[in-house]
Amino acid sequence: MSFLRQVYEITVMNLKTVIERSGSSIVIIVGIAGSVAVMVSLLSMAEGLNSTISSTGHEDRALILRNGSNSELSSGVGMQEIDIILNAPGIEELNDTPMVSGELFVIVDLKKKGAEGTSNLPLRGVQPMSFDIRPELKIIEGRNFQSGTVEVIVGKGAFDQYEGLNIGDKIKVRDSYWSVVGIFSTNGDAHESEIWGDLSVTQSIFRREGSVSLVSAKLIDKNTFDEIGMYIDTYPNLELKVERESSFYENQSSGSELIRIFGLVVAFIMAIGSVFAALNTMYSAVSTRLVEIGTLRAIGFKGSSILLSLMIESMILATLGGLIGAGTAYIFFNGYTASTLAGGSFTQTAFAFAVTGDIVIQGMALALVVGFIGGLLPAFNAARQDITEALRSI
Amino acid sequence: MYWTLIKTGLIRKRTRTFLTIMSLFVAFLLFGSLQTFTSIFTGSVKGLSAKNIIVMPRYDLFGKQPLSVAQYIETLDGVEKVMYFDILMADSIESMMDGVVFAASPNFFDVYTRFATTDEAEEALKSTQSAAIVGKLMAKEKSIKIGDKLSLKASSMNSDGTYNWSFDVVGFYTVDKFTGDEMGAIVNWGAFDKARLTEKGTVSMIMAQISDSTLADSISNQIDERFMNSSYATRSGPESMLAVEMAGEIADIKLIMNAILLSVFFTILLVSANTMAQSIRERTIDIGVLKCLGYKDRQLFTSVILEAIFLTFVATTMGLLATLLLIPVVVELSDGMLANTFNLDLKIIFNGFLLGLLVAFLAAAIPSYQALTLKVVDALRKD
Repeated sequence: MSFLRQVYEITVMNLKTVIERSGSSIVIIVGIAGSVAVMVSLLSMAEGLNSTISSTGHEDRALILRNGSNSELSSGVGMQEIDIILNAPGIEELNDTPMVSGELFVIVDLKKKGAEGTSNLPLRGVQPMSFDIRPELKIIEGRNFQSGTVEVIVGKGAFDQYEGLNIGDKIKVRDSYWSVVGIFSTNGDAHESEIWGDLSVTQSIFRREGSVSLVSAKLIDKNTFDEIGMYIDTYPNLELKVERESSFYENQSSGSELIRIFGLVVAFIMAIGSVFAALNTMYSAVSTRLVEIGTLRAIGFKGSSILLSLMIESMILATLGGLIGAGTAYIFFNGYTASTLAGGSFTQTAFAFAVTGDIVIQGMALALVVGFIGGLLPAFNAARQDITEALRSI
Repeated sequence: MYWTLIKTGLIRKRTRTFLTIMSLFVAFLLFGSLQTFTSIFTGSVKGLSAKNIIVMPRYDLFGKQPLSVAQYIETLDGVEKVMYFDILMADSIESMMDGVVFAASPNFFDVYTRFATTDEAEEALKSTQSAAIVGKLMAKEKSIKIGDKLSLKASSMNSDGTYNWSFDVVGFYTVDKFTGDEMGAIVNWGAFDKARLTEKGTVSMIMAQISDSTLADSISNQIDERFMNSSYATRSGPESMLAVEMAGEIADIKLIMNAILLSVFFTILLVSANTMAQSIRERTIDIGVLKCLGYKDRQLFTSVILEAIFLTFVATTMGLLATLLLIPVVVELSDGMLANTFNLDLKIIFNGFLLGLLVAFLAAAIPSYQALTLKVVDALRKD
């Protein structure tokens, strides 16, 4: 019999008996499934948080903040400075008006659904141009707020996570009440965790007349960034800085990197535990089959084909475990929304777990590595087993 | 007698015993370290005082409040000392990792007793306008010596119209327990405030030392109510409570951590318990022989259970010990930032051993009971 034929025959025989040995086979599958599930869910959490924050920024938009400030909350730009920015080169125009909008970024505290205390939620007071600069913002329910009124629209993420943000509800902010008139979506980016209202109304309620937090601008295209950058940097006595929106948000996603590393570390340690469990199972799988293995050797099967077929068995069980683990993580967590403190401004950002193909591949790789290591030593032992010894163990 | 039986049971298949202990060890290592980690969220951050009330801006963690708030707090009954400081540059978590520079009131070291420095340095800080006392950790990281210039950017404008500031290093400070706070520097608030053009007369945080910790809630409420409707509403509370509240903002993360812990544990326990159960099942014949030799059912049952307990006990001890060894490694990796945030406290250790016992029982009880109630003839006939 050829080598491959031998391997095939033994593998088929092994797999037929797997069901009889289901107790110990399940050990391998469950052990690996658990490790993969944990790894996939943590990585999908990191991925979700990261893509939420970094997808917020676009390359063809610029943010102008006070020099030296790293977050919208701490930044401040005077209203008269907006006029200087209006004249900057490289900015796209809409109906002969530069696409520039002053935005005031403030915090309101509201109750999260099911929570006892309140959490920080950002409120962005914007000028009408903000909606043209960010065309991804779409009202999905109700209507937009009217300029000059105490009305707000609420991001979908904030709507899902907080109490009392239905259309028609009033929210108390400082000493006034704002009515919720609409709910908006921004394709799942960080703005969805915000409340938007009119700039001048926000300024007066928060007693911040005369200044905004930052200015957002639409560039003619992504290459004109340097023009506006040069203009702002060299303008006399102007302590402002320009950042590309995409790089601004990328700098704020360090939290997701921490979660990713944490996920990898936990999964790695769990995988070590699963290797021990897999070794255990395969050793006992071999020891209960010593006689069969001895018999196979006696009638002419090669040690190497026994080794290979045992490895195949272990890898099949590992693949099964990996698929179950990744599947479980997918069913339970894909699209699951959570919110956490993220980014530079210490406010709540809602995000959805994203189980991507990449993450599943990483999970399956972990499963196969565990299956390989767990199967190798026992299979090697079995293949080297002395025939007479093995047969004597009857 | 039991020991002989247990020993034989354990060395019957050494590889299996070893592997079972190792997989249980990994489970308990994860249990220990994840529990320790989540204790940050549940508020067992040790060493925070209930007699220190912190007052900070309600709507902006990194915002400023006027000095008049501190002056008001000084007038309250039960307040002994009021200390305040301005954080020169802190507007995001990222920017704070590089070190935090406080412009502090003269009584900073007096009230914030966790921070310590030499008398000469404290004196120099009070008398010299440009003096800075640098934290030990920051000095080490950036190799700063006494006499060096400390240049930094602040959120307030300097008299030359820029945000660049420079100070002279006059000494070093250390922090008890929270060594992460040593990543910073302290300068003189009075001098700094006089020199700056913007944000004049503001501070980031105010700390009130009160005479009696039972007054903490009423004093905090009094402060918050006083400023509730002003443009600088405050959020006050004992240092210990605010830390828990902040961690609570990461509530969802805590939930997820617990879910992971549960699945980690469930997985590895199921796996290990199954192996242990199997090893007992395989021993039916041996048990039959022992019964023939006159061992009583109860004795055999106890010995098998004891064997399982011994196994998990070894694994639990190893796992928790490894956690203890792991904590300093994590602290070292974080450059001391996370020092004293991780505590493997008695409760975790106790829970660990309790869980170990439970696993041993779950794994051993059913199969050993089955084996023992078997008639001797059936047991010997098996296999």
